[in-house]
Amino acid sequence: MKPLVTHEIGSLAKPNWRVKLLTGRPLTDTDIEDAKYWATQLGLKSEGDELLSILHKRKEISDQDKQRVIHISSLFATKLLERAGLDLLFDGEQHRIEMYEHVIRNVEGFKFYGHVRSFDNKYYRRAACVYRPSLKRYYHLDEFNTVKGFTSKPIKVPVTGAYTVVDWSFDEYYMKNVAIGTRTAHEARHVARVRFLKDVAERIVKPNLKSLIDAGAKYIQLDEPAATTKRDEVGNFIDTVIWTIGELKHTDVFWSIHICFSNYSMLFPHIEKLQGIVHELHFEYANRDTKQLGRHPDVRIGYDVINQLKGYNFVVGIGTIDVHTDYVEPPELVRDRILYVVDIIGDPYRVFVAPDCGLRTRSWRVAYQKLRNMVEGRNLAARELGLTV
Amino acid sequence: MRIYKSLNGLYPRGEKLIKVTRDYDRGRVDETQLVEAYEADMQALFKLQEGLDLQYDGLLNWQDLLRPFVEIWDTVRVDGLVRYYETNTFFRVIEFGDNVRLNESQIEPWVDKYFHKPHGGLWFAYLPAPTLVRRFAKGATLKVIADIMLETTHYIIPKVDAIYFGDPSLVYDGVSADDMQVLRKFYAMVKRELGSKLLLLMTYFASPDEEKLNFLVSLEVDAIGLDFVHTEYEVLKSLRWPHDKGIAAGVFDTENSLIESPNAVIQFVQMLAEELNPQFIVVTGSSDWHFLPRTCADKKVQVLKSLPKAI
Repeated sequence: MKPLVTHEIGSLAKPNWRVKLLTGRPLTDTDIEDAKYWATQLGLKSEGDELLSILHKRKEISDQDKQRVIHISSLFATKLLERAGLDLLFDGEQHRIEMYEHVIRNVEGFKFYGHVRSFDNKYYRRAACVYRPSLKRYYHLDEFNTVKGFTSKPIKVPVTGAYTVVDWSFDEYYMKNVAIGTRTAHEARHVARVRFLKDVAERIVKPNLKSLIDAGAKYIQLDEPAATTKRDEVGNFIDTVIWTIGELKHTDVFWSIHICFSNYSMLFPHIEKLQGIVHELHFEYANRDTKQLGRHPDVRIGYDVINQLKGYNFVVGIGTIDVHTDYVEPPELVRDRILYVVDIIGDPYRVFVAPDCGLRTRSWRVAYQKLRNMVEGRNLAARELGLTV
Repeated sequence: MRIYKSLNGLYPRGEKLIKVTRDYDRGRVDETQLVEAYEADMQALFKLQEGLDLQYDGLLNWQDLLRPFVEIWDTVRVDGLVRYYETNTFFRVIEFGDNVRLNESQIEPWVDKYFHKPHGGLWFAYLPAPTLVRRFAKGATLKVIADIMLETTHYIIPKVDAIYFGDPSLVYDGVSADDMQVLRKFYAMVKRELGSKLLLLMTYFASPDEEKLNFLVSLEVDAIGLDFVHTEYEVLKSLRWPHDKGIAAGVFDTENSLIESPNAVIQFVQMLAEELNPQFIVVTGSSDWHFLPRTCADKKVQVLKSLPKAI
């Protein structure tokens, strides 16, 4: 493994030409120009021509056309990340609607009820577990095999973790007939919650992991943005990761966990139990950091939790760019963030460089520029450390 | 015992409004269409609340519980995202500059924009408590926040029949002795301005311990709200509930879609009435309702409406 490995976290935006075509909305000239722009930028002439021929139809779009557009958006996204210079690639989750909905659509036992606000005017569809979950189909296998065909670089597959699936779902099955307001009721709620977590870990996520490993996956990232949502359940989250990976820890897969927008201090000391199972812990940091250059703790205020991670043997994945703003971090800022962390951890081979989270809320142009600068910042840091990357 | 029925906190937007807000963000609809969608959704919510004793506008045009205040608190600006307690919802931090001031020239249109009179029942305004604001604020002490909130509340009180303050932090985070002094004074002053109008302090997301309970019931408010998804009623037994104070019983689980059985709710409320003998009980949600999709929330409201007026 080389030092200061760079990777994206998962999602990129779905381009307008893809969204509109799939939802039957009219495409504008700007959408067509955008498709042309990326085909040219990424040097994908034949796929670009094919895409444009589908987009120019503007109506009577067949299911086959739609599948091709998804395929091409997956190719474009993979190549965008490759061109940005990342070491580990994926396709910006172009095959998925959204990290939660993608799972639920492929699982029996859940029912969608409607949208719930995440923040501002951003919503996600939320489902309830209405009977015991079971897997309909392996929901990452096709996309993994597709992306494998796009690049010779290593692929890292982001997989929504079981704890997050449960935490983002309502529970009408395990919690049925559980009352509220009394001590006995609260104990019953806890028992119901554990049963739900264990079932999703063992019956839903784990079989998908196994299918990916059988297909040759070497880097798997469990996305667990909900990990520290509930302070009394951090232990449950850790148990859920252990149930999920289980004996798969004996494979040659590099296991990563991504958590964001959370209170990371709540993970300690629980994460100790994940040593020897999980290799990398990636958190979001840039969102809470200053934009000033420098490597002093007063400036790098977003990275204070690194001091707590120092004593463990995890690879420390660091969010070095903020995904919720169009501000493009200069390479020098990324460099200083990396060097600050390397100085604490003491080993550049134990530091991975990434954005805070998926870049799906940014346009591809902004995302690309941010990622380019991130890679350039990593290169500056490596140069200063006398390392070859 | 008299039972009041009421919603509380941010109410979920309807699916149609959600779509319009998204389309507006993406430039697909104009402001007139957005305003019309808010109006239609609000009217639907007013209709839904028919029969509830206390009613409001659901805060449908609030981006979160703090954002409207940024528009009238000079020197306060919006910053990054932070998780809203133990939920999958995020608020934006608000950053206070020096010498925060209420923009009095804008306060009247601001009140009109964010507080809409329902068609029936007592009209309540739902506001974030100073301790909630502090959790999501940078650069301001609780005292500074309480002062500016008090000044703002002054302009809302004449319009409404009741004020609810939502305060998860008081029980979830805890408060210091100095904080307690600030809060004691704050609620006393709000109550003084309200006179005979109702003042409710709603707590969420955690069970208060004995010390917090004693503090809560000592405040000059008409009722204390308790989230019974997280609160075990057994902890209340250690306390002699003051007979001049009501309980806002958060018995509708706003974090889960399971629809409550009316009988189970009645039984639980009956137990509270018998064991604690509060002055009155407001039956309500365990926290903001917007953690539910609108269809689920609306179904729970139908159960709430079906409850008897007295037990």
